[in-house]
Amino acid sequence: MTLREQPEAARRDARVADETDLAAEVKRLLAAGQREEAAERFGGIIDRQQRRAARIAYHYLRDPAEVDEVVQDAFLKGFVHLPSFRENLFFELWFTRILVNACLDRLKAKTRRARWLVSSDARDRLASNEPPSNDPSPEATLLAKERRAHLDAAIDQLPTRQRTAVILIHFEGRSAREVSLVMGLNESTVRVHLFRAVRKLRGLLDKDWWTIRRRTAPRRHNTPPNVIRAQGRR
Amino acid sequence: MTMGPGWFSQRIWWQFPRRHPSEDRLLALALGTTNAARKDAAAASHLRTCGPCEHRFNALSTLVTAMPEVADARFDEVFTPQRLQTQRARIASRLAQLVGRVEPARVLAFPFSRQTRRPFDVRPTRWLAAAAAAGVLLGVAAGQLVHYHPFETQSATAADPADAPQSTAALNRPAGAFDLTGTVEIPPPDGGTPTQASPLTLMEFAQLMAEEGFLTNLDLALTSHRISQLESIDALTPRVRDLPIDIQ
Repeated sequence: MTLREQPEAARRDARVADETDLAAEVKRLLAAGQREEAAERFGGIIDRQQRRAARIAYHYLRDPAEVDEVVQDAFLKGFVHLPSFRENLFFELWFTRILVNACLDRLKAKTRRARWLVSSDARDRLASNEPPSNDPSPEATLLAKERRAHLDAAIDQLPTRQRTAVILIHFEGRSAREVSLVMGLNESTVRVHLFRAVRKLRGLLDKDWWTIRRRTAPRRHNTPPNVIRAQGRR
Repeated sequence: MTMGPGWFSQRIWWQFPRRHPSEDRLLALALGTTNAARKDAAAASHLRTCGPCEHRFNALSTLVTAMPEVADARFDEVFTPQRLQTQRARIASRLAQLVGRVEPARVLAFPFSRQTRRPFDVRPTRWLAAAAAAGVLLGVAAGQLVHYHPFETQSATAADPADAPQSTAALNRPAGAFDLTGTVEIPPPDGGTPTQASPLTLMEFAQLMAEEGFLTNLDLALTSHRISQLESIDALTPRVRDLPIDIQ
């Protein structure tokens, strides 16, 4: 973690701790039989976690309707199973685990259904449901869509653990330690999964993807995070 | 001065500054997934002096930073604040149903009609008993019809009389005494009707069975089908009755 990221991390830790306290309070209310009040308090947790949960589910499923269902189910499941929540863990990690498992279950069911379909291209269906873009250039819109499609197809080819590592660490900005708690794996194992995933993605994304991206992205020299960390130690 | 475990690698890097880091090393640097700080520092110092390696590292860094941007851009397009608000309302509604604050949604009858229909009565009714009785009667009648017209059996000689011209003598036997199907009925010793059975002694019965068995085997041999492969040889074989008999 870089020095620049520390205040943000501290804020995030404080937010996560607040959510954990709130979850513990909802748990106490449920134990006392005050279900309606517990549901109202749980609404506060939903407000904080909903967008993040939808984003994680979208990275897995990429179907807005299925994302809606999975997020709803995950929150309800979290509320029902809140009495089994242990306060020594962060609520966010506990809930993320529920959500990721729900997404993986949905993906398995989707794969089973796809075996019986003659021809169904979900991406075409998705493309028709997409809202119109505000981008003035049709060419840029088309290129952006193509880039996204390539990235989606590449992520789909990753194994489950590598995909989870990429989504939670690289897309969601979680630390390897947090993801190791979510996945139930060793921290170094999670790092290995992330490294292998990105290396595979790099091989799957063709050179056009790079060229397009490099043409549009500003040229910058990123100092490696580990180098900054090493310099900070000195 | 003590030499740590990383001293050798650092020395190597210092002596061979043009040794280019591998692609995996650069990717690990870009991701920040390595724990080898000395190697990372050496690679970073190499990047400052080597243009091609710097270019490779920039490309990798671009990929690493571009992927979340591309993935999140689509999410922001699809999941607008209105959509998230709708999703939030649905969650709240289901949560209210779960805690019992709101009655669950009423299931409409289909097809919708003003007259409420009675649910299906599972109790057995009269028509059910009548249908069962009719089925039993029909089954009994069909059984009787089948047994009233039994299938007729045909003897082998009647089926193909041309094959057995020599069996006419055997067929002249009384029908009740001899049957080609293999069933042998014992003729009464006094010439009475076959239905009137009379007791026999054991010796008479054994003698009768021996004669009948011999005759049965003989008749079966005469009336059975000839072996088709031997018919040509049989035709070429002169018979005794065909030879001119010259008795001097």
